[in-house]
Amino acid sequence: MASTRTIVTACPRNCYSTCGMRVTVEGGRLVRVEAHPDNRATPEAVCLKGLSYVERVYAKDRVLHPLRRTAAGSFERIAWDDALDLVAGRLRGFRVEPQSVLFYSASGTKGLMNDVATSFWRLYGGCTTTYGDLCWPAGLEATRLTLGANEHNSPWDLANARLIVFWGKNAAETNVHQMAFVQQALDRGAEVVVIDPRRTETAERAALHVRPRPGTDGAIALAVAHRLVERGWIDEVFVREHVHGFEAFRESVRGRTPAWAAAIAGVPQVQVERLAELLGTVGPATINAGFGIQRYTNSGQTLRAMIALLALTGNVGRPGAGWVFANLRSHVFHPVRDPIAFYPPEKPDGVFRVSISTALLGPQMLATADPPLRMAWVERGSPIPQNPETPTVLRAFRALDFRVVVEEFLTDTAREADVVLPAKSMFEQTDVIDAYWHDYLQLKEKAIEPPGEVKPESEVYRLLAERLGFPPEAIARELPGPSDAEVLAFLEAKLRAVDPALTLDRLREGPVRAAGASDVAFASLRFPTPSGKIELLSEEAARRWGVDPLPAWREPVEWTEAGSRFPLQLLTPNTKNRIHSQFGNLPSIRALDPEPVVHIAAEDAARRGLRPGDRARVFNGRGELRLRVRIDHGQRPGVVVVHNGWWLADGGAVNVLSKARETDLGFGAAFHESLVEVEKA
Amino acid sequence: VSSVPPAFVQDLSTCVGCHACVVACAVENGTAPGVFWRQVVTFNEDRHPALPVFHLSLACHHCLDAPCERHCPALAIGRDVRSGAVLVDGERCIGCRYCSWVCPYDAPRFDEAQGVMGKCTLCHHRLLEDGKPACVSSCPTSALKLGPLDGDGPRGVPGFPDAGIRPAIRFLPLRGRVPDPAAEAAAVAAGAIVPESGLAPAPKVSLRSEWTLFVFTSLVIGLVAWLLGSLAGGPAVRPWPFLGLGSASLAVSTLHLGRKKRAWRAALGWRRSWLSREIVATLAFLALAAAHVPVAPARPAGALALAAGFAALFCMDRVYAVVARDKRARLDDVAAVTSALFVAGVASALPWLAVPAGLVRLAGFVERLRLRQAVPGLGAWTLAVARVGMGLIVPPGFMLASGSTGLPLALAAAAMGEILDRAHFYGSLEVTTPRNRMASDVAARRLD
Repeated sequence: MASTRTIVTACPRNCYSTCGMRVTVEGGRLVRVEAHPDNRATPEAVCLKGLSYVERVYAKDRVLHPLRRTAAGSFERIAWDDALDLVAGRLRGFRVEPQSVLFYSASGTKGLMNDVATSFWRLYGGCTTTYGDLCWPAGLEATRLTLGANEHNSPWDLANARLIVFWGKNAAETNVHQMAFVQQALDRGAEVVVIDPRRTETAERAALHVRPRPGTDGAIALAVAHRLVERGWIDEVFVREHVHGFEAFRESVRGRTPAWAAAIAGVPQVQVERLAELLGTVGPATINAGFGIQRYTNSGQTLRAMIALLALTGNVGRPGAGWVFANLRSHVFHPVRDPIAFYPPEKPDGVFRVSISTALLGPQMLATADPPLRMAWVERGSPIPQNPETPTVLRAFRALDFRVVVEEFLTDTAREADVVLPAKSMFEQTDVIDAYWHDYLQLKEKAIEPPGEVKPESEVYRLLAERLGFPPEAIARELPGPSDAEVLAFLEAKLRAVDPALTLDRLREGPVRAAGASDVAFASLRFPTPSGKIELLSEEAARRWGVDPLPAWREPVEWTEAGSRFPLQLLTPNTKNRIHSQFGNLPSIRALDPEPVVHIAAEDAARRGLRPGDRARVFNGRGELRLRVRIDHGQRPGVVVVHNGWWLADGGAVNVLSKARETDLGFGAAFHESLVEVEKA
Repeated sequence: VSSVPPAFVQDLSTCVGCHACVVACAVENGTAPGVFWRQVVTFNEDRHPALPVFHLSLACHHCLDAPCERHCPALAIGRDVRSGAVLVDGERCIGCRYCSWVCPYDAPRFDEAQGVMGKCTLCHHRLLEDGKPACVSSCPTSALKLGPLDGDGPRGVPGFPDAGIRPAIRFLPLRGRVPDPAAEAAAVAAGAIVPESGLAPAPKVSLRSEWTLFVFTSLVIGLVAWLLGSLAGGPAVRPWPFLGLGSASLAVSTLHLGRKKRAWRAALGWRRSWLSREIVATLAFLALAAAHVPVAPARPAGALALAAGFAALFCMDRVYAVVARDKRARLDDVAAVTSALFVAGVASALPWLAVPAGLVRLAGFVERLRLRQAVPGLGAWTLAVARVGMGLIVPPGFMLASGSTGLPLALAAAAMGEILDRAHFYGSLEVTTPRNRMASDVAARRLD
């Protein structure tokens, strides 16, 4: 009988839940993934993706050895020595101008071991990197400007809420563990409101479901504020003590009536009024904002308006109440917390050229000069289908002389590489990860040896550093050696620097809450803003971003540029089946979700002569997708939905339709406001 | 020692349709990629405004009156005494897939690689360690649990066929989930609630998938008709073609099996399985016919062979009569028997036999057409016209003409009509599954 071991680990994907896990290894092979019961946010079970790791690790199409592009355009297997010699040779050539190399990493795998990359590139002499983020900067910045920090109540505290508003968040698919706490709240008599153009699984629990035109949520929030003021549903003591700029805000929403918002958002006025009544009379209230809703050119201001509603009603700093966007309590390892870390440095270090906005990756890669980009190193991401304006990103990558992609699978981006290096799976090297919904630090312990010839990235960097002749003492200091013991020592040092009591042994027992964690954020009602209060009026917002210092609503940029030509608004939400472009290639996931489709409301389909199962062109001036049609009777007419995460190779990469633009706040990507047309293919 | 299984208990309010149970089952049981023993079936996937959306998480319910166990011809399905689970024995299964036809829950799944059926085992290997099935322990919202068996199974739950077989499952009903009344009124007024035929689930059984069974049953029906016709004065049985076709029918029937070398096991279940009895009776028919035919008209032996043949056809009809079906034409329950009588009546030019049998066949065909939900396309209309024309109009016309060329032509037309009918029968054999039941229940707005 083969030996059986149980290992404590955690899922490093870019996902709210960041599940604590216990995995079973039999005879060196991963056989079972279960939830770690000590993570109170995810105690019961992991999701279908977490379960599918057993398939993912041993997938037939996993990249298990280095690959080199051949003259004919296909890939051939090469030995590690050859791959390293080839890459080191090119790096040696580009080192004359190190900033001609783009280092691009995304959110594919969390962990402290990723820091090794930065150390490598610093020793290399620098490189060009990106700032901003595809995910969440507008919301982080809106929150930081208003509340002073990105923190929120514990996930399980949601059970104490009497009113739960999901504003553009479909937790049932993107944060399934939150639904357990929603159900607890419902069983205690809470009411759920969902504001989403789609009738999502989460909306099934809603007493009120508002389906606004995408991009108009800010108008609704301002009108709700108007109504709260008008009806006296304001917590006056709280506002007087803890809110900065109330009078100015009250004046600014004077004309923002429910009728005004209803006309903009295309929703019944009574729904706006009902939302205000619920927020004004039922508490404690929590607003959960999704990430998709803050990927518009007006979305930072939109989220500021949404937070204002909680400030007006005193729903901050107490159990069951608050603003749930991102909880960065566990982000303790880096000196500067997000989102500041996403900004281009005020004082460039001359080593890293942090000059490309992630939101504008394609256009700015092409425009970069002095020196222009000649090589890219990509890891933990697949920017070609996932960044805005896929065709431009593709063109930018093809314009380079040399591309290295570190990947587990031949993604759209890996297929463009000159050299593909096999990436470790989450089970093949120990690491420590943080989270952004709960506040646990978790160990991601090595459970199995890397299969095939897979080498963890830290080892690859070390081997390249040796080939490039970096000073041995610098290598020894900055880049951990390949043995498990050296990796553990590297991590122990990182932990010790943050908290002497935090050790790997402690983490082996189970998830550990970050220092200072509490179940109620801002319980002291002291806010780390310039005024020390919740700032409805933010001078910094105006100074840094050039927006109105008060939350305000304006039309998304795309409406004014292309509105008359393309009548439908494209939503590209995530599904339970993938984390962005990950997992969709696995046979089990594919069996459940076999092909990309376009969901369209019945009346929009009828107007275009589309029937279920037809093939349709979804297009705008930037590109097109050819997809099978599904009718969705719960979707807002005028909105079409194609799920995010399909690859170009699947014919479903949604960013062929999106535009590279930044959000109003925080250098986010405003790639959710695309307008399209649909016609029979 | 109890052989009563625990019941799956699913809370319809708490389940969000996340499919963790489905994938957990696949991983735990190592099913082939894309083969799932558990399924999540969604009510109102197209989100009609007036109806709620909810999900059933279904696998095998280890029914107390399990039809898969009763109807397995190879004695490969039985109840585990310790856990109460109904289990498929992969060493005995012949891969005939009949269990998946008699199960209204679509629980047994065919494993192409192994050539045998597999299905939920209640994770009895985990249960016996005092654990929970993988699906239950992998539910992020604790919506799926295991509880004591209570009652005879759910009634009136959309998408959950109530076949009276005492499935070990319970549903906790939806709590406080009322669709927006305004939306409901608007939707009803706008006539938005219509079946989405374009995305209706594909039928589980089709002529393409079951062509071997179509060939086998058609040949056996034809041979029985030939023997009867010959004994009644029609064209004489010619030994070699007769026996050649008989052997061919058996050979084709084994092509249907996932494990052809185990074909002999199909005879073992004769005590309770109509499929097994069909095989046994068919073998007896062919054996007796083989003994009778070469020595020509030995009447007693011929009658014995004929009796075995009709027994085989009777069993054949029973095989399809017990398949889980929502829309079953009653007269199809005698399809094989009457088909043989009709063809034999035409062959032996006996109107008193051919006409009543033919009328029963016509009535059965019309009944089947009427039950079909989908609007028939051009192909279906052509088939219907051909079938009626060939099978009924033409033969009497030829019989009236009754010349020496008339009879063979009439016989050919009758046979062709019956073959078309048989093909149509397989093409419209809508085996009940929770998925297609769900679609029709949404279409019917049947809500409890």
